[in-house]
Amino acid sequence: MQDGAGSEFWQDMARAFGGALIFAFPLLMTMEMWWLGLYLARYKLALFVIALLPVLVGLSYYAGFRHTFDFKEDVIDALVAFVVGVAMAALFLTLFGVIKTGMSPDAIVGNVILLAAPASMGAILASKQLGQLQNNARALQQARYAGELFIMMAGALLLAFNVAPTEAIILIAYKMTAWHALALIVVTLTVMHVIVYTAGFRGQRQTPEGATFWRMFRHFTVVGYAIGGLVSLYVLWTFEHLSGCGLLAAVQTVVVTAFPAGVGAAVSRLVL
Amino acid sequence: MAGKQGVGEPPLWERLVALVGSLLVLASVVYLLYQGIWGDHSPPDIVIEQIDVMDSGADHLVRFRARNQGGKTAAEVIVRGVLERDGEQIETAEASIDYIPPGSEQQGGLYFSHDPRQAQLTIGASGYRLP
Repeated sequence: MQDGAGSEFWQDMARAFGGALIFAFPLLMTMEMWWLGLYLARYKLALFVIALLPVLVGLSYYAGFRHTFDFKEDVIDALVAFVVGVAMAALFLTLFGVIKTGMSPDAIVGNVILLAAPASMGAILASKQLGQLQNNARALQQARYAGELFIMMAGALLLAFNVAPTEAIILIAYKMTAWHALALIVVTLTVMHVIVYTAGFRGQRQTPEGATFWRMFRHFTVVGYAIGGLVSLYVLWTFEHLSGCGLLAAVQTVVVTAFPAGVGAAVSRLVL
Repeated sequence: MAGKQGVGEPPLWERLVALVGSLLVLASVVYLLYQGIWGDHSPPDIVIEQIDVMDSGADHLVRFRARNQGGKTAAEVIVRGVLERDGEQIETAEASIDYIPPGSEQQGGLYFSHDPRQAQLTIGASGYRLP
């Protein structure tokens, strides 16, 4: 480790590991995550990992722990982040006694993979927040609408993932009436718009001059909310919260999850 | 439209995305409004339907489907099965289901040591609470 490149690598690793830990903390200590790892349909788990990798590549492009602007590097960074996520999940699940001898390999793999998802997103994201901030100024300056949509989706996924596994989410949805759900939609859109509006003025990307209130609202707030809703729908389906569920209950559960997901979508434009 | 260049009119696909997003949100709002005003607000109505009976070790498993045909979510639904032979109760079994929202169904099972195929089996919900 006498050369600079080597120590830089370990520094990157340490950052990635720290990022993974910060973002996965709430889920590491959520018991529903352990159960989900056991009973989740394996095809849903596989689909989730397959869907996760492109997201990691995209995040690496916009916020990676090394300043890369080439596709191959982004893919490598995404894979490294995934490995860091798997390692961290395996380490802490073992430390907490969740993974122990006598468990079937299938159960262990299920548990680790599920937690590796938020951890690997954290590895890419937070390491950038902990490291240099200006690395990706250029990528973000160039982030046109498609880039903004991707960033909103990633933010929504991270936040939705943090709440969707819990039983609290469905309990809240079942306690609500249709009127509560309607009010929550209005509140979510309002909170999001305040955030989007602030983000719109910051950094001068997507310059709001000439962009009216309504255009900002339709193109970023409403679209961000719709993305949050779709991401919620996918995550809830993955976590088996919608099986056998009637339409009203399903819509209300999505609206509840779309609150953090929508805010996540809006905030990610500020943070990233 | 003689908009300012760059920030004037957004491209077509951008407007399409905004349109689809608006439609999705609008559809949810309209649906919830409809449910709020004209939706069913009656108490939970749990209907139990027996799926099948199978052997499970020394016991017999009766699988059932519980459907909520009411308008409110039922929590901690207790499903109770009673086995009778010649008008005399010989065995009971209970299972509880966490939540059954309106229009939804959940599955469960009851274990009996006597064979339910050689007796009279009645399964029904015996209670619930609102979440």
